[in-house]
Amino acid sequence: MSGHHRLAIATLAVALGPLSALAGPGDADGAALAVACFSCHGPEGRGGGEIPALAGRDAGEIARQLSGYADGSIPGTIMPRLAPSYTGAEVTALADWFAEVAP
Amino acid sequence: MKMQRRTFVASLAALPLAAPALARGAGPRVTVVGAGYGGASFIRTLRRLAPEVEITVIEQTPRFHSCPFSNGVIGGLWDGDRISFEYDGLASTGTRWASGAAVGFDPATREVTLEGGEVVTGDYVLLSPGISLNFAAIDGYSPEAAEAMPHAWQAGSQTGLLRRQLVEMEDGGTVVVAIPRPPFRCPPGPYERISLIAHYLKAAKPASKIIVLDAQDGFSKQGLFEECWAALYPGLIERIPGAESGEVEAVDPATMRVSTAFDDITADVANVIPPQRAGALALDAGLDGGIGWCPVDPVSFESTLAPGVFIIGDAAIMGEMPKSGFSAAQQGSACAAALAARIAGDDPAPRKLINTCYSLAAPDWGFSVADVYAQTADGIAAIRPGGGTTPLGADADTHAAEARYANSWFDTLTSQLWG
Repeated sequence: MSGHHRLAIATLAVALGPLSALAGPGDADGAALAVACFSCHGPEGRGGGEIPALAGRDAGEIARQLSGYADGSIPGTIMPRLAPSYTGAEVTALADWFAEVAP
Repeated sequence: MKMQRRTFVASLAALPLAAPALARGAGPRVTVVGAGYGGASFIRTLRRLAPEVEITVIEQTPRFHSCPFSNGVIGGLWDGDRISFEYDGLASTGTRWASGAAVGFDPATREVTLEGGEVVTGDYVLLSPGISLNFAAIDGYSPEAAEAMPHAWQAGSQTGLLRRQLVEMEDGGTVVVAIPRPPFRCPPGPYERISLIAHYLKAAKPASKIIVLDAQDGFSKQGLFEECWAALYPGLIERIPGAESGEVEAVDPATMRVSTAFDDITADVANVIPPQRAGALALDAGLDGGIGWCPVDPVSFESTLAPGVFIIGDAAIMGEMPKSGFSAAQQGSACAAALAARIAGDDPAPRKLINTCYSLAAPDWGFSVADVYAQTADGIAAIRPGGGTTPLGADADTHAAEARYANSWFDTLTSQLWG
């Protein structure tokens, strides 16, 4: 992807926010990745009963949590099995996307 | 309702990228057959990504009955209302609902014929038809025989029938559960069902027993189920695997006899789950290519045999993704994104899809298999390392947490799809 293209997409992604299906930082598409999480974490990650909400949480906190599940330093039930399947760029994109959603 | 949609469209029109598409006027027509986990998820997502599309929905049942959580009805954990959903919420997303079941489909013209004779045409067709039951594979079994020996593998009246038979059975009775060769809908489902029937019998009819006649040797989450059975239901479940001629070959509903190549067993309650294939509409249209399940492109889910026809859920061959409601819902939203891209003139982008299948072996004893799958041109494969099942030997708190998460997952997803 060219620098100009990347810049244009980044600008648009900021303009459109979470509704956008465009790529976020690091070339990973946070919006497309996040859809898979809604089944448990609720629509746009706004929560689903016992399963925590992700919407509006600090991006750094979400990324640290996901990375901790992936490297085994944070215990859990489901997420330690799912988190290792995402790259660092994908974790960042997911965290940034959920952080932008109004809780 | 129309107001909501208009408001939503208007707000999207304010976005610079969406405006050109809307300016074209009426968008392409998309026909959706089947409003279960796959179809409902597809409709919701396509409505959001491509609001100009005209969607016509064809659904044969007046209410949706969920297979996920239907074993809880059979085991008496909750009643049938928990798994029964109106389509009103889905219908009010600005879709047209055709009346009646689809009885024919022509892949060349993409025309769907309804039982009343109406013909629905579309530029694209999404088939999410689920499974059909191959009654003929078991001698003596039929839709009529299933009124005495329910399969309960398509939820609804069959679910209630099996529950009633268990309630009416006297203590000391024999429950037979017959499990077919794979592939079938919900690989751990039969074993969850056995567990929850055992949970009911242990409390209400402790002199009873369950005989499992299984065409399979090994099975999904086997160690986790057997760990629970040994702890909670010792002596209650006897399983005959495929290698010991567990496969059921014949049934006689008049005498309640269930027969393998090796043995005849007289059941008080017989839950006979027959072998399965793709839903009848897809089979009859030849979209399975003669192999029972429908081959599709792993990224777009477009049929490899019929351009413009997309097939998701249990009916399709989805690589390593299991036939589950969770998978179907993920495929539905990915397929809608792929079609929205196609309509916009773009290539569909591969995604990462998730499947988390929970099983309840008792009300507070849950476990799961959880995997992330990558779509590639070669197929859909689980990403390793990562993924897998709840570890063996997990403590009671873990199983209790997974049971709570299972309940949350079900309520969260079903409210998004049909709420």
